[in-house]
Amino acid sequence: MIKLKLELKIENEKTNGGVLKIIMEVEKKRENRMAQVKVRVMLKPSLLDAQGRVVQDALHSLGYGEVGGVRIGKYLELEIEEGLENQDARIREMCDKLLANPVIENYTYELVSTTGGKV
Amino acid sequence: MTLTAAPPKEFKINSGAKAKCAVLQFPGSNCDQDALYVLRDVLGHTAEYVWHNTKDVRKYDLIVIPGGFSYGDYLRTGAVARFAPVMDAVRSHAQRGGLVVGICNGFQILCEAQLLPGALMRNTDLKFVCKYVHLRVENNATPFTEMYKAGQVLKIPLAHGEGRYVCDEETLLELNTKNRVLFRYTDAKGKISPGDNPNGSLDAIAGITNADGNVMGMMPHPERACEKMLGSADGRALFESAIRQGLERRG
Repeated sequence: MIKLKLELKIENEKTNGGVLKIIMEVEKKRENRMAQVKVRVMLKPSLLDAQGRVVQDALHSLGYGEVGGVRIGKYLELEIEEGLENQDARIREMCDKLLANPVIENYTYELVSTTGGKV
Repeated sequence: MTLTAAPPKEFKINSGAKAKCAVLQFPGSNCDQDALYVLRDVLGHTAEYVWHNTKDVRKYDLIVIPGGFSYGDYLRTGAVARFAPVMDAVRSHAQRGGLVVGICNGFQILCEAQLLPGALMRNTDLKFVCKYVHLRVENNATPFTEMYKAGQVLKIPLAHGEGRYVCDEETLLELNTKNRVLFRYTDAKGKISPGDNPNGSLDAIAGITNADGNVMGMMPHPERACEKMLGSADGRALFESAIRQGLERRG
């Protein structure tokens, strides 16, 4: 949010030398720049990942014996308004409340500006 | 409240008072009709469907969260249902000491809502399992199990793809030492063996209760086992216990 304050002072005869003061406050909402949050949710390492184990077995049967472990997680992309206050705290809140279940999952996230660079 | 095992008691079941029961409905619930049928038609109490956006459940003696696939099981089972307005009302009901029974998806929702500890994950063998199992009553001194005998073996069907109960070691210790495990998967004689654990649940846990003993969740479906004609009536005493206790808690 950008705030502009303009003060105009007008002196003329009609106001008997007084000053007519006009104050204009202009609030201009900054153009919303969007960023992307890339969230990765993984099962905690101590928990059996039944799907991952099956995929590992399948890879072995295809001849990829070098695969020592497979874990399957979730990847989410969120489009968010960039530069809000408490941005990181709010992202963590979203993850803790809904996107991941802290009882069984860990998460990491990365905030990327739509122009490409890390925010 | 610490739950301790106690000998079975004698109960007067037909006191004449009718309990008011709520069966919650989320988009995707599919065992709601079975639950309502048992409470109203088999047991003769008052029961009604309560839609997920209801904000007040104070008039009910017992709340049943039925099975199904609420919100398509999107993200995680129960993860979206947990934020439905009715769940705030259920939380208040539980805080007042009201009774809550969560079956299958209802159990998953209660875990997501952190009204019960732990979580339910994909079955170890990744298969949707649908069959009769045997459950051993681990604690019959709870509002949900008092009409069972301690150690009684029940025949109850289950049907789920994500019923593997997990929790951290601290929680497991707490569940065990405070007798908060209500049912375990066993064989027909009440013996625990890996082959009789249908989903890979930790410690063969099939059902648990919260620390206050008034909220319970279980993966098997007692509402599908309330008439001999349908294969088993072993689930009936769970609802009879809860209704009796619910009436007593009316105050």
